[in-house]
Amino acid sequence: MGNEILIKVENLSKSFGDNEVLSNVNMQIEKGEVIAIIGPSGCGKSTFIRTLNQLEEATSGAIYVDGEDITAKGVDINDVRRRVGMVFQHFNLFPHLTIKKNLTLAPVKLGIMSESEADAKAVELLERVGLSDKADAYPDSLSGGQKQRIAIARTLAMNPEVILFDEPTSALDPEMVGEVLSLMKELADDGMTMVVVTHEMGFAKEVADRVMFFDEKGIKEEGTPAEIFNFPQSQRLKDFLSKVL
Amino acid sequence: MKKKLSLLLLGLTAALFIGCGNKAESTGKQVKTIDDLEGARIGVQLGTIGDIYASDYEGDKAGTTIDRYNKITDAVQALKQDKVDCVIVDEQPAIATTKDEPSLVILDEPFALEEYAICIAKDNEELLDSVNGALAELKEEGVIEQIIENYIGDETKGTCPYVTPEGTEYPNGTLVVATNVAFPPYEYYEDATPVGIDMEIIKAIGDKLGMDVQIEDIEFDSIINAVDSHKADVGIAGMTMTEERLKSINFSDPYTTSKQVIISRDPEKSGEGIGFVENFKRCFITDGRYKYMLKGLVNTLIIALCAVLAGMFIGFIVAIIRVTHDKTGSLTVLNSICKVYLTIIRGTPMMIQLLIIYYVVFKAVVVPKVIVSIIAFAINSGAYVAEIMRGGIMSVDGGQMEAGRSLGLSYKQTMVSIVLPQAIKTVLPSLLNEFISLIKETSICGYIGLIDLTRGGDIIRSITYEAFMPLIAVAFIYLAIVQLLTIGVGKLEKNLRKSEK
Repeated sequence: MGNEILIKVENLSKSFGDNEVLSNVNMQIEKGEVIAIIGPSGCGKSTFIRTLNQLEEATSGAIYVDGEDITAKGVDINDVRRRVGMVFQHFNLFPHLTIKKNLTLAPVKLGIMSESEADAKAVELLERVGLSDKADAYPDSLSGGQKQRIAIARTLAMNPEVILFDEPTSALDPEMVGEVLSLMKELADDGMTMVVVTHEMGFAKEVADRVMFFDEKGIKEEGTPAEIFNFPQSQRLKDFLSKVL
Repeated sequence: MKKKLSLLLLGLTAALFIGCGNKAESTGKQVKTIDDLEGARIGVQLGTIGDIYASDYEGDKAGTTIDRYNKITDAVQALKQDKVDCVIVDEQPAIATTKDEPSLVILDEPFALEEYAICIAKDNEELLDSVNGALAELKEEGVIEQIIENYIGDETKGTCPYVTPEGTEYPNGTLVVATNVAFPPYEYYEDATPVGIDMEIIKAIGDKLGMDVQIEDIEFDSIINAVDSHKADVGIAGMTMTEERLKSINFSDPYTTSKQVIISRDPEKSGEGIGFVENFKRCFITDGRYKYMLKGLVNTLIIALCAVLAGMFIGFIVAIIRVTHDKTGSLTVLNSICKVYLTIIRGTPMMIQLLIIYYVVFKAVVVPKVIVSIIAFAINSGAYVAEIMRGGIMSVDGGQMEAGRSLGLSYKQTMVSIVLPQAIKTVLPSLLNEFISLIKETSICGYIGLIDLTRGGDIIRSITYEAFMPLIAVAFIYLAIVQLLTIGVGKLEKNLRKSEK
């Protein structure tokens, strides 16, 4: 594992009006790392991951991506987002476009690839996620699991440096969770940097390099999967694990 | 199902057409002398001298009521149908409109005497002097008398039309003339051209002044406004000088005298109308009268189509500004402007907006009426489209915007490529409704003197004094356009939906 730091978060706080959700969060992510973020509902873990590409603006603190503070004024946030991909709980595929168009829209619109390059890339990615036959279908004809695999492929089409997963399996029927997790595992094995907010403790245990337990507006405990799951320190984490495991 | 509906509609229309000839029994008061006016239902043309005289009776103890119509032919039609008991109107139009109506009589006793004059804006003394000079010369030369005799008097009628003197040139530009071409024999249509005593007199004046005459056909009660606001240089429409009118306008010397008379129903004679086929011929075939409606239809379609497209454009922009403000808090100033625009346009009647744009906004500029109408309707439609579009954009899941932005697309790119296409699909039925009401609303274009479909039918009505046939035909054409549009958009919607499955 390399030591190059991809994302660094310093004293990050986030409030919605008077309601503080995150308070002084500090962490960093190295290139190629897979971070799993676990914790009870409402602990701010989704808000945290959304600040990493500024879908939520930080109230205070700094977030460095490749050494650049993306919370600073005058930052081309669109340029940052091209490098920081995101996969949503509810997929958010574009229902009016074919699957292939879902994949090629952004790279072509942003002038990163020509139409034919993007098409070739889409074909390659669809093969990778095992949905080549769906290229000309529309999202509404897909199952939940297929939709999420397409959403991952759509993110990959931008060649991101890191992908943020915001509860990617929470909206899926149980029998479809496996296909998405195994795709994510493949990505991890290929060396993709990933930050995953998840309730799948099995995935966190098996795939993550580090696990962060979020509670009470920040990171309560962090460590390797073995440390977190086998030797939890705080009472909150012990309670949490006893409920989910 | 659709076929059945069409058949039903067809049947209804046919029933209406056949119903044209039917007559109701008279129930109102019989007006035989001027004294009978008290307690009667009096019909007049809005803003005419007849209106002013009749207004003296309004609200008296006997319960006299006044019905004011836009056209004298409408008032006569109402009299025939027993909606009023008598009509007060200038003598010559009374003769012309009752000529083919055996059931109507003109009372021998004249109601009042009066003189007709040309109206000119108060601040245009120079033109007033020129017109008076020309009138004096024309009277001297006997031209005025000749013109009047060409239209009145059984022996002279049609024998001595005014002819522009040879070698007349028009170095002094155009004389724009406001009139209401539904007042025979002073002004009426013949082969789609306004003709009549007033038309020839003003032409003769124009020739004297070296000015080319351009006729603007507008509502009678708008003529003074049009002249006052310099939309027209002069107004000539069998108009009598009154104190009230003198407050806002100047009058030339009178060019002829007339009297107000009372038209009443003749209880002795029945008003049996002519047959359906003959009626149809008279309304549409004779003299190629269908051309009025055809011309109007073309204008209606042009206005509706252009206004729809421009309205969509305005609506899109406004909706996007509003949504962007709601979502990001930026564009505060533009958003406030949009809010004012929406409040004003949605809070005032379309007709008032059209009149304001024509008479106030474009007061000093000469813009073709079709363009004025397109602008007015586009501005109006834009406000409604904006709110429809805003609703559509709001209905698109917020995750769509987030997904687009998370891929690095800008707000604008996401809006255009991802949110708007979905929003449009959602709002297509509402947009269609808006367009349908816009097409129907263009029927008020006649108020600025533009010949649209409705006005085309009105002209036929003013020529034939036949209300039902032109009105039903106009209604039928609107219905047909709306139906075609409904079917077209239905198919488009189906295609759009299919593409997603």
